Amino acid sequence: MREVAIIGVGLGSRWGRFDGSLIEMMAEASLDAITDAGTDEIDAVFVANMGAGRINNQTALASALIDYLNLFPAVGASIENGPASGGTAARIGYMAIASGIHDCVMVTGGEKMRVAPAPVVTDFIATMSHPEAEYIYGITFPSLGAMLARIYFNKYGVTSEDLARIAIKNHKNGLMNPHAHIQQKITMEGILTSREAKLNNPMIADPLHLYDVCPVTDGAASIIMCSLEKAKEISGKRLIKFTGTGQGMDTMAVHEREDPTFLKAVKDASDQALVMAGLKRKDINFAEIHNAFEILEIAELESAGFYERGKAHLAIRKGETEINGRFPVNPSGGLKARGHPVGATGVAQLCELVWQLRGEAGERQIPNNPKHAYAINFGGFGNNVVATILSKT
Amino acid sequence: MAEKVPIGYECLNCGKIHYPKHGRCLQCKHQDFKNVTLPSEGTLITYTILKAPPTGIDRSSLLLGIIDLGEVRYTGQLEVEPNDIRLGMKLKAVWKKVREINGKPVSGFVWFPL
Amino acid sequence: MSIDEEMLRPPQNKINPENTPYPSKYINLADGTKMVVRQITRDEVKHVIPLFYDIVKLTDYQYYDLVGARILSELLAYTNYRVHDEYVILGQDGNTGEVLGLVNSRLTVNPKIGMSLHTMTFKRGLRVGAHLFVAKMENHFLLGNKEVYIVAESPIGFQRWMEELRLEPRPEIEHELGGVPSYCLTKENWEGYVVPERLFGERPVPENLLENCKRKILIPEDVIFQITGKKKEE
Repeated sequence: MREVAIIGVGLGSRWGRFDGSLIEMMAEASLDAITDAGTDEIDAVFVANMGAGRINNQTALASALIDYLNLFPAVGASIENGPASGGTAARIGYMAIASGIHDCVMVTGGEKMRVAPAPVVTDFIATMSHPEAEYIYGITFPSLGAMLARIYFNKYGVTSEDLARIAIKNHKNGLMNPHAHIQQKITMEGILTSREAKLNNPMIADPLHLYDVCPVTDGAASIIMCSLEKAKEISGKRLIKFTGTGQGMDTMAVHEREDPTFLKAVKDASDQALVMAGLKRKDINFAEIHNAFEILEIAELESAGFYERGKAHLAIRKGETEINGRFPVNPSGGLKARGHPVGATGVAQLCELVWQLRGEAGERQIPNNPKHAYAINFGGFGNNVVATILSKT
Repeated sequence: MAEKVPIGYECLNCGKIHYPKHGRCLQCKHQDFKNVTLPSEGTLITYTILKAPPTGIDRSSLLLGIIDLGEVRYTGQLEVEPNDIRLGMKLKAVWKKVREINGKPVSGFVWFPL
Repeated sequence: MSIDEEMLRPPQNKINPENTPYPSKYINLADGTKMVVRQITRDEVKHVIPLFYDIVKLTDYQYYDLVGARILSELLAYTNYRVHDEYVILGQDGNTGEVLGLVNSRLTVNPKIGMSLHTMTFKRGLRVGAHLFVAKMENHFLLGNKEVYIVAESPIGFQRWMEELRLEPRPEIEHELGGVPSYCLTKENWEGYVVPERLFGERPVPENLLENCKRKILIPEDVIFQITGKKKEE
């Protein structure tokens, strides 16, 4: 198999609300990645999106994007894999290049979610749950996050304050990320310990508060990958290698898992990616974690094996996951602050890894020259998970 | 008509009981199952009070939980006084309307205190 | 007959003849800001008025032009003594004096009934409006109103007040904002739901915070950006 490098990344304008069309939004991110890569000689385009057919009345997005940007004769396909669509599309792009079928692939993820009222968006996300055993009861993703959090609270002594601490850290990182949807400082007093926190940060799904849950965001992200050999010829940038990819699965209904706090798919995806990269967990310098709910930042770090079960929140209390900590997590602000346009998230995570590894992350740059970076893109409620490892050459 | 009770799907090869239904056994991949009656009483292992229910649920707050029936677990709605909810409490299943989907009523199990 | 200024002015405030101001308080916002909530004087209102000349130009954005124009007229009426027993409460950043939001109301349709006018927030996403609206209601009930009539001009206002505060419809009452059917916050709902769930703030306000706010009513630098997230078009 051929080695693969990422040569261009882009996120378009600041995430939040996009006034134009879904395709225009994805085009903006794609053009940023093309500019960054310094080439538009792309053989294939994979577009990651979850719900345009349902909420934007548009399907076959890869064809539309290639047409809009005149990327002909590039070929393309759209990839739908829930909130893991982005990581999955990047994995398929990797396979296409590694196998020798394509030389240069663009992967663009995008989701335009702020077109519909909140209950409709929540319901659209909930269609990922089990239709008979979960969906009909009104299960939403925040409610699954909340039920996971309650077990964590009870079993490991995690508290609302721990979740707030993670949110405060992610908002702080988001303030340094010009692309982030949410650029707002939050304090423990303002969101949890003062009396008025009850109104500032209401309960959404007990025990999860508003600030424990990601916002509804429009956004797109794009990466351009090619064979390492070709990258050396055409790219003037520091090359970032796609060193590991893994994907894991679990039961669809959360209640069927023997231990609902253990995210088996996260472990399997991480193990595969590490084996492929020839790395140990201690070699990884920082991570982008799929924190649609702050409890997932804890659960994924533990299931991926970066912390022992029930111990991540203790490390977080000590500040280990801050940008200047021992193991920075979500320097971008993560899904909480950058936002979570579902199809774009997995691609945006890889953009952040590339910026950090190149040393181009500006104010939020992780110090000491990080070499290996890890991302987890979490689909369903953990039934379909993609892990990616990128490394500096 | 007999009262509706929770149903599981027992693999005719290895005996594993499933809920919900699968086309092949999660343990041995066998394809034949028989319906078995599950206990209609169980233990609450986690829950949430959802303040933002999705479309089709005409309430401002909805109680959801996972109930352990011994061999399998069920996810469902709870009808318990919010102040009385606690992990480990015993609940009993009652079949009733749980939601409207595309304007049509849908029924399922709602769990009441024993 | 010569027209005397006094003939143009409304009569003295019915239930608050001494015009005792709303007791100031401060509220912790999510971002750590200590928001001082206080009633401002006619002279202070004059400092805030120019803000609304900008806001009325904000067309096609959640009715800001309409609400801005109505607030502007209400504030002008207040400073010129052409409205009966209006009061204006500001939310200000206790450190900088920056105006975060404004609410106004009229105390009396009659001594038992108040008429809520407007709520506008200049810094969004921090529940400034939710806190200020409740402060304005607090003043109505502190001064002896038994109920307050309320209408919304925007969908977000309807959601915030009518739905979240569980207001009662009073379709037979034409609100003075355009004669639209009113909703009502009753004393019972106020005491039973709003006070325990929605009314926050500490008193007294630390002297330095109050001084900062009185010394400088800082108008937000780019109010259009604050409201819409978009830069003003040149």
